[in-house]
Amino acid sequence: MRVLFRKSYLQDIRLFRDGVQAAWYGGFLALALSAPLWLDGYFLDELALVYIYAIAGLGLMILTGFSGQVSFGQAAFVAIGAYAHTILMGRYGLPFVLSLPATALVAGLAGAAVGRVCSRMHGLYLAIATLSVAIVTERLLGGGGAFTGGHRGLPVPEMTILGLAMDDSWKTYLVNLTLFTGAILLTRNLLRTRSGRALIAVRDSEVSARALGVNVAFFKTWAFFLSAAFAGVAGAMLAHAFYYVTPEVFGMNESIRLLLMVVVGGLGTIHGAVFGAFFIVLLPTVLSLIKVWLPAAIAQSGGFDSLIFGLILLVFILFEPDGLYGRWQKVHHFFSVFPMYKKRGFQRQKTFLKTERLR
Amino acid sequence: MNHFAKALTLAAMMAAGVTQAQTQGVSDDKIVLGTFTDLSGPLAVWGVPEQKGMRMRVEEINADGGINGRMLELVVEDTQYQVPRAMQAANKLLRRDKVFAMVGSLGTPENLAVMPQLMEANVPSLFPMTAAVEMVEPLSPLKYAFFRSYPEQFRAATAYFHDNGGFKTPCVAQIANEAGESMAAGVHEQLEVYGMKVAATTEHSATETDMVSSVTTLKNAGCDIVFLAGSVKDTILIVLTSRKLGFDPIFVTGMVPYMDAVAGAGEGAMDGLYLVSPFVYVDVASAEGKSKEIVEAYEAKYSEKMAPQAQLGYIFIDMVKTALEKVGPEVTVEKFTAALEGMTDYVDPIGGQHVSFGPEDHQGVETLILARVEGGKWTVAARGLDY
Repeated sequence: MRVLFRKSYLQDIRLFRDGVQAAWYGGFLALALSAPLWLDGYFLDELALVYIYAIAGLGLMILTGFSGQVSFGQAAFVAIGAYAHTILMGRYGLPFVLSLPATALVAGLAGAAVGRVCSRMHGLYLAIATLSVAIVTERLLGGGGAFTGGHRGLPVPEMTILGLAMDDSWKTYLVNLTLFTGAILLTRNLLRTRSGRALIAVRDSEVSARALGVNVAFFKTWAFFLSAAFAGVAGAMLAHAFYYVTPEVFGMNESIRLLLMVVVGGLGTIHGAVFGAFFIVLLPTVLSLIKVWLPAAIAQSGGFDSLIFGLILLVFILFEPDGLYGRWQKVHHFFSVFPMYKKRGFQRQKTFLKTERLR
Repeated sequence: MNHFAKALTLAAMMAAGVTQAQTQGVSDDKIVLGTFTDLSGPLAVWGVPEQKGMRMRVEEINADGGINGRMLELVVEDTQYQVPRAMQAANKLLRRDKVFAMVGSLGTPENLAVMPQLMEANVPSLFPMTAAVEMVEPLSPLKYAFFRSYPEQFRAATAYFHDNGGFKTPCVAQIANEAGESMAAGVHEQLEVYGMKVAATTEHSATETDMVSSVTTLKNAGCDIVFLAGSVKDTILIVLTSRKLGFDPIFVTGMVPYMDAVAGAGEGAMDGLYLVSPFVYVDVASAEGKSKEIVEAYEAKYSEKMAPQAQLGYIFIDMVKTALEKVGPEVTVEKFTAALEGMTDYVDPIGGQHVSFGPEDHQGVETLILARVEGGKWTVAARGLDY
């Protein structure tokens, strides 16, 4: 185990802890960048989908993991992003490079509006409010007539970036990888700024945060804005992956899937969003690949996927509330301090008094 | 050396030529077919039996020695009726399993999303389990549908009741999704032909469980015929609620609620409900000959009743088989689609519906049937409906 001496405050806000960590992540990036060389189109498309979901997951992580506001309506912002991008590109002929930031802004503003309204809500009430946002958005898109294409939906225009047609798996893969890396860096950067620290302060105790001079309502709204903007970008890329957007694509199920993603991955960490995306996107694929070896009676029965999915979730919530990343940290810690590992090492040391009155 | 190099290049070129001529999903001993359907989502009541029917026909064909010496292999993927899952499923089927054709895939949004990929990979989309117009339009050499579309079903329904008894105040109860929209559009179009208009329209969501307000609106409008442009549960609810409120118009719907659960709901309360369908749902009791054999074999195999969706699945694979037999030993996509376009006299082995395709006609079933609930069971009231 390496112990770092703190020599300056700048050390706390460095992107990487030390050279070893930087080398690891550099290695991962190189691996991801070179994937088109050694993976076939099928796996590239799957990986691209993982990146897109991870972007949406990072957005939700900012909201739920860092600012502590649970959202059952994240798919609504993904939907707004997908539709905004499709309409901006298809109807108004905006090029991709302009349409994507505009989409992030549109979705972000929608998120901020919801966030401002909900900034005094907590827990169950916030969950219900965001749930209703998801339902209302789906209905609005369905009833939007010619503008949104109604329930029938809209075909998505082809992706061309600066005149280059993104018509191959490896091209879209690289676009998604770039956006994904950008999203991680943005989130990482957010966490080491004043606003990032303010979000975490709001999450841990609103009263204490306010006492320290944090504008709670503003930062809650800010979290919603960022989260929805990320979701919007993910929605735009999903639209390209699906070729077609309909309101049904972004229903309640999708919101819940996104929330499960961050919970299974590990709430409150960037890694968690990424691990969760791998889990959510690749589990069905892995299941359908291993089905070949299972007896027909099991593999062909309906609901097999749901069963496995549910079982894994159950196991996580019962035995590892910290998610995949939490488990990884524990395993990692076990080996790095061997044989001095103790379970207590991961118990939260500071707990804040939480009563309804003092929120 | 020079000769050797030449021979090597020649061999390489030949190998390349051979692999190029090889059609995706067709090998010396088997043909791989793919389908994505809903095995565990909201439309599992459609997907599960459909898949069983398809499998049963595949197993029968393989037991008979396959098609021109090739066995059929069917790869089924579960979408849970979610577009993202459908995209993943299609990606796997196209690129890993390398299917020759996609058969009987379920769901309108799912099929719409996957269609461009199929076209790009030059893989035919055969008989999707949806009656959306886009399954044949715009015309493509790779797109074939079995059903008459939703608007056509409702146009035929409107025409039938206009010509047989007539009506004065037609109304529509519509589900708020793309299927509901296109069904209602059929009614509007056909009424326009007669210079009539829909007197009242109500809209309900798929999750609504209380239809009193919808039914009250229809009752107050004095509707004498109500076109139910909806799905399964809402159809049952509207009819049951109407019976309770003493509202008794003619109820007509499309193919979606064509299942036992609808006919048997409310202990006889559904009696008199009409529907227009491109296929015939055959019951063991009323079946005869070959059709009876199939239904009985299914019941013996899966120890459950052969649902209409299972019958459709069976027919879909049977049609693929018929076309493949025509193609002969050398199977390519072009030859296969040409064989399908030349298929003009197919009669489905279960319901006896005539199916014909042509170079300009990629929609299979010719005429529609009118079914009616009698004593809690679906019976065929009329055949040969059109507009």
